[in-house]
Amino acid sequence: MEIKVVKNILEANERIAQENRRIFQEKALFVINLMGSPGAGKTSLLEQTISAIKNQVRMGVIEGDIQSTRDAERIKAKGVPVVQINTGGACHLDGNMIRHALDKLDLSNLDLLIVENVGNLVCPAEFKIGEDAKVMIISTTEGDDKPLKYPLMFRESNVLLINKIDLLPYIDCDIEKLKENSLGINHRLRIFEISCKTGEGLDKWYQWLDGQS
Amino acid sequence: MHELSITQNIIEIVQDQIDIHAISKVISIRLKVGELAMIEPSSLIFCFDILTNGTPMEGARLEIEHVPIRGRCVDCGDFLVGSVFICPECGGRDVEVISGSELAIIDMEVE
Repeated sequence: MEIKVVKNILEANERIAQENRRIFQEKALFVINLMGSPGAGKTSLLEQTISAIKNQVRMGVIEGDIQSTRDAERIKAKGVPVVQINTGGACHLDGNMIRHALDKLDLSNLDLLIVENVGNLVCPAEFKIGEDAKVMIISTTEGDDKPLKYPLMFRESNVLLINKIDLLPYIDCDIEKLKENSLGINHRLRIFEISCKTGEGLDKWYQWLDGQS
Repeated sequence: MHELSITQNIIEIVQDQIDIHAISKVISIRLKVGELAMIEPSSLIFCFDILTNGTPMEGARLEIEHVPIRGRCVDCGDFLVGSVFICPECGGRDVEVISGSELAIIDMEVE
């Protein structure tokens, strides 16, 4: 006997993500899903961003990692509320994990929530969490061919931050090719060239953030 | 790498059908998987075989239909294949994905 099913496999996650989104809208909270490879500079970007805007914007962070509380400790030291999610092996965050983490944050007293996803260039792009914007960070050391090899995250993201531009003189990454490859997959991508080490270019990222809320 | 979570989602959906229709054995499940989803079929099958041990899904065959990425240029209407979304006809970059992002269960064969 044949049974017709015709169902999106990720339907359950998408339902929870929509519920999260309703909560975010009720609380007038702008939520960013920050994605990128391990070592791209996600936590460094957060540290810089918190230092720059925490006096103007009430900001909270959810940290996703396979294990350890290292990143949450780095964020806590910066003086903003943070919740650590340990996925225990899972390579991405999903709607349900975020839902549970929300209980540990005072959402009424936040304007901006940044969710740092598990370091991974593939899986986080597939799982919605109810975010307003997907922001991807890639470092120049990863190479200019990454958009061609991992198109989904580039396609899904609203913003691409190219980090570690201070290293360009020492490596073979062609940043123009990296931008061209990224825009070939998603012409709507807003691209900012930054260095979390020197602070170069970060003002444009803060301006973008400021324009969102 | 996300094949484990995807497999868990497949199993939940199939289990719902098993409960609704009081099914004793699932023979095969037909899936549509788009190229953009970056799923490794052998990994999906590996996870499925392990997770369905001792359930009515044990031994069921996963028939995975691979859907290539196809886009349509919003400016000139031309079709293109692959993940570089630049229209070969007019150079337009506003390309809508018309297939290749599928991740769906189509149907299943049961006893």
